[in-house]
Amino acid sequence: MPETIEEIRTTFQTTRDAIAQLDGELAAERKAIKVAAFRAGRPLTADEVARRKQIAATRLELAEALQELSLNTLDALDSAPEVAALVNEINAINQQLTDDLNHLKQIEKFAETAAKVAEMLAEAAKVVASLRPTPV
Amino acid sequence: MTDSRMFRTIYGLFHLLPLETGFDRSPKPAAQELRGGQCPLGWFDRANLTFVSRRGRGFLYCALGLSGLLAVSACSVADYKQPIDDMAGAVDQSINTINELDQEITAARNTRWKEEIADGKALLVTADDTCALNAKTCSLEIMFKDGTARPYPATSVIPTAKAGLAGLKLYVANLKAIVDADTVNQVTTSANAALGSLAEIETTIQEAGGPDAGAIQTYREPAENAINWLIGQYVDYVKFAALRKATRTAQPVIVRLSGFYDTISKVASDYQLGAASKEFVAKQETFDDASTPTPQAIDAYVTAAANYDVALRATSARPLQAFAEAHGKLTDELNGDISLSEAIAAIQNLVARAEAFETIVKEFKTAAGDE
Repeated sequence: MPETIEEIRTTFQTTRDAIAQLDGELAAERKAIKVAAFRAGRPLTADEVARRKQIAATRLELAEALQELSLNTLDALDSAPEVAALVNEINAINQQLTDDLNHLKQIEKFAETAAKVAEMLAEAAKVVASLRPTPV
Repeated sequence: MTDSRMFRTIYGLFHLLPLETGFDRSPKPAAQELRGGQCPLGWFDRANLTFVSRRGRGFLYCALGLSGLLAVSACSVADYKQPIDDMAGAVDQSINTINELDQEITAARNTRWKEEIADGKALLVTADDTCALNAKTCSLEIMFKDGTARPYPATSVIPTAKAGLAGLKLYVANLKAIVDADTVNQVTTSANAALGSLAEIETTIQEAGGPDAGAIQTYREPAENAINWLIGQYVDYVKFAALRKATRTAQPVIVRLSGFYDTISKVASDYQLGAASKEFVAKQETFDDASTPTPQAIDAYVTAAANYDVALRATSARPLQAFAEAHGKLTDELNGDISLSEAIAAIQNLVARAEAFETIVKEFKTAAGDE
C-alpha cells in the first residue's frame, strides 16, 4: 500500500498510463476495421461488427476503471500523512505573518503613545505657565 | 530650545518606536548586496540615528537630502503591491477552480454511492453513537462489504487537502496585507501631531517670557519631512524583512503543496475524462449503428468529440505549478538574486495559467451540462 504522495502519484500514473495505452490501441483498432472495409468498398462483416461492439464495451469499462482509480487515488492522496504535515507547515508560516502584521500595528500604537505624551506635555506646559505669578 | 536639544527630542520620539522589539534580528543587507532590481529599503538602525543625532542640524540636512533621493528612486515595498495583488488573485482563482472540481466529483461520488446502496452493494446506516435520544448528533454513513464505512453524503473528496488550500489562500492574503498595511500614514500622523505639540510647548514657554529659541517653529516643516522619511524607511524595512523571511520559509512548502494540488487536479480531471470518454464512446456507437448517418447523428458525434477534447486538455493543466514558479521568483527577487521584472513576468504567467485552468474547467462543466 503506497503511503507517500510521490508513491501514490507514481502508482496512479502507471495504472492510468496502462489504461490509456489500452484504450488508445482499441480506438485505433476500431477505426482500422472501418477504414479497411471502406477502402475495400464493402460493408462490415458480422465478425467485424461484433469486434467493434466488443471494443466499445471494453472502452466503456476502461473509462469506468479510470474513474474508480481516480476516486481511490483522491482518497489515498487526502489521507497521506504528508498532507497533514504540509498543512501544519503552511499554518505555521501564516502564524508568523500574522505576528508580523501585529508588529506593524504595534509600531502604530507606539507612535500614537508618543503623540499623546507630547500632547499631555503641551497641556502641562500651559498649566504651568498659567500658574506663573503676574508681574505687579 | 537649541537645535541639538530639538533633535534629541525628535530622537527621543524615535526611541518610542519599537526598534528593538524582537521582530526581525536578521542582519541588515550590506550595501554590496543591494544590486540591480532590488529595492534598497530602510537600511538604517538605531546606531545610525545616534550618530546623526550627535550632529544636530547636519542630520536634518542629511535627512532632507536623502528624502530627495528617495523621491527620485521611488523604490519601496509599494513596488510589490501590484505583483502580489496579481499573485493573490491568480492563486484564489486556481483554488476556487480546484474547489469547484471537488464539488463536482463529490456530487458524482454521492450519485455512485446512491446506486451502490440501491443495488445492495453497500449499506446505509447511522454512524456509531448517533441518532438516539442519548446521542448529541445524528448522521449517516455508507458501509461497504469490506467493513469500511464513510460519512454519507460526502461533502468533499479531499477534506484534508482542502484545509491546505485554505492555508495557501491565507498565506497570499497575509503577504498582501503586509504590503497593504497603512502603517506609514498612521505613524506619520502621530509623529507630526507630536511635533505639533512640541511646537506648542515652545510657544507657551515663549509667551511665558522664556528664552526666545524658536528652533521648532523654524525647522518644523523640514523636521516633519525628515521624520516622515525616516518612518517610511523604517516601516518599509519591517515590511521588507517580513516578506523576505516569509517567502524564503514558505518556498519549499509551496513547491511541495503546489505539486500535491497539481496531482489532485490531474486525478480529478481524469475522473471527468472517464465520464467524457464514456459519453463519447456511446455517441460513437450510436453514429456507427445507423445504416445511413443522419445530420443529427453527425452533429451529436461532433459535439461528443469536442467535449472529449475539452476533457483531454483539462488533464494537462497544472494550475499551481505556475504559482510555485512565480513564488520562487518573488523569493529570489526579495533576496536580490533576480530583478523585479523577472518576478513580475513569472506572476503574469501564473495569472494566465490560472485563467486558462478556470476556463477549461468551466468549458468542461458547460459541455457536461449540455449532454
